[in-house]
Amino acid sequence: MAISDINPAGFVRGPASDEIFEALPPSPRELMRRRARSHGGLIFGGGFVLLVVALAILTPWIAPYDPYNQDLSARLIDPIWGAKGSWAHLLGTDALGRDFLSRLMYGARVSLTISACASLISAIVGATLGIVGGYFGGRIDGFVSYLINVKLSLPPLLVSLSLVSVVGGSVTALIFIIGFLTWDRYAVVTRSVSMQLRNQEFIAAAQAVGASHTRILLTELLPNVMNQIIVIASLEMAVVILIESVLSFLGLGVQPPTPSWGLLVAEGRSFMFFKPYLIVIPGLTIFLMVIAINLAGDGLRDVLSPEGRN
Amino acid sequence: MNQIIELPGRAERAATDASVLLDCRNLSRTFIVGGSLFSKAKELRAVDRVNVSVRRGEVLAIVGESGSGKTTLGRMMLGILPPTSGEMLLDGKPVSGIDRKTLARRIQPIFQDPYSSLNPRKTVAQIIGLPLAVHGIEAGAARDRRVEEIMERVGLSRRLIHSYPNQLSGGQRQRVAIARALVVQPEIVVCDEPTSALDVSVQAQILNLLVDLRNEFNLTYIFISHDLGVVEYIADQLAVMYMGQVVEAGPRHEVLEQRRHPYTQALLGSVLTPDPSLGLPDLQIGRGFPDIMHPPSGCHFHPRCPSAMPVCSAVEPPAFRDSAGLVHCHLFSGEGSSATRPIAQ
Repeated sequence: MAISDINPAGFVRGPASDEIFEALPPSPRELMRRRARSHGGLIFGGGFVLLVVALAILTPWIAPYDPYNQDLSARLIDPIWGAKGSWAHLLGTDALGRDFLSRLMYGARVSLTISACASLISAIVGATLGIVGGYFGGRIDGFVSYLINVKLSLPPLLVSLSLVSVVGGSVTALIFIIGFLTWDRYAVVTRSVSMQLRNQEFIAAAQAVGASHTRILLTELLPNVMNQIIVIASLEMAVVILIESVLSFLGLGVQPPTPSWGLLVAEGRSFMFFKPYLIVIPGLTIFLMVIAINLAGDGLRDVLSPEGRN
Repeated sequence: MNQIIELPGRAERAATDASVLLDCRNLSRTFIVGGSLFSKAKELRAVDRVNVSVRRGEVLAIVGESGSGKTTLGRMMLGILPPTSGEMLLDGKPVSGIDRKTLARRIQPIFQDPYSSLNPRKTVAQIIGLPLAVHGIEAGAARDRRVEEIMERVGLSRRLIHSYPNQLSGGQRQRVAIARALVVQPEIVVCDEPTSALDVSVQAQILNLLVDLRNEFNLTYIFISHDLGVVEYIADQLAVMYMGQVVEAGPRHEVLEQRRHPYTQALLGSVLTPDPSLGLPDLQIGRGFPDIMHPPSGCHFHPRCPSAMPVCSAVEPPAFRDSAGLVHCHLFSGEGSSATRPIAQ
């Protein structure tokens, strides 16, 4: 039979279907907003994190005392709920008579600064390696995979311990050491996502337009992996806070008298049996912060990339 | 065959403007597959010494089954995949000597799947504006105006300008892809199965749009497709590909009418009809597509060919060329047997 017989009858010339009055489906941002509003974990976790961050930022104006100001006549005062608690020191004082609430608030500044900066560094390092490796493939990807494997074989705590003991425990050193030891998860995830995206036709379209690799990486690929990066960053932040606390607790992190949450626990250690609040309060703070960040991170994942659930 | 809808202006254009715009000469592309410490890498000849050319203002359709190398050929024409050997001439000048951006302004793609060809994180304005941004054409409000103009031209409502691809229908998405291709005013558009991912009713709209745009902007299309109904509607020239090689090529009318290569006969005979009582077409070529890693010797089509002769499995068929086009088949090599060959209907 001649194929003209089966020429579809639909090939008629006419105006494109007029969809002007049809309502648009919601935009991706609107969908995210809807998912976020009904997500309890995100609201609770995110709320707690935002509260702590806000307090940490406002600390210089709202902290009741100077965190370095010693008052040996007011040593080891119980918190407000204790037998000898007073309103003058809500969370009591430490062994040198410094107001514990103020130390905790200033400690939040130090701990959060370190974890935020370290997470930023690791996100930049990891995402750059992952996107470049996944997009270019071949030998470049082989090199990136090699770096990831090397990194995965390094135990972060052990390496940071030895590095800190060599270069000393300043805040800057901590930020860089932790940052360069936690980028692997970013690299693994962004690499696999980029490998999938590389074969999508919108990448080929950008190449056919003559766009440079840099432009494709930054404006085509990066926006598509940004959600994953944010989610990993929120989860890694909790890990980084823990590493910082552990290092400071072991005396290899932030050096006294600068307060940090891990250091507060370390300082309270010698009084642990008769003044337990000295380690319970900072310990509980670290615990709550890590839980809240994890809740918020899980929530962010559900909101930003719901495809990955179940 | 007289039911074929004649496109407006086809005859005049063919008569007045017959210069070859894009000429592919012996174009090949080999992929290296596998290869590790313990296994040797193998070569996959996706496109094998292909000669096709298209004249300005014409539509060259490339047809063939899946895996025949159509898309690879299209990607080489776009310059996003370098050929392993052979060369392409654009207006008589080798493409390899043309700067990538200059080439990009002259040849633009429309891809098959409008769901993966648009970046899901970008608005319509950003997607259509990308070529303008890459080439530094206009900026700010002027660029937006240009985007709006082309949107209007491809039948997209202006209020969609800030929406994301997931808010659009398949037809609207394909219109965005068309607008992105045309916004830099290319001469050649490589359409890689632009309608096969769409509903039939939308297919017709998109095809008509492509035809209208071609007349308006004097575009040249390379139209890659496996939908013969579509090809019959839009093509001027036709090239039939099988396992990376062009087995038959020529003016659409001649190829569809004469069907000289047995593969062309099988391909055209495989078109499904809307009448279920006719059943499935009987192809007589078997179902197995040969292993592309180990192409058959001689003529690649001989294991499936109903008219295979001993010579077919030994010798690669030479090109036979006459006024009705080009055919690679032993039925037409030597002794002028082509003139007497009956046309299978």
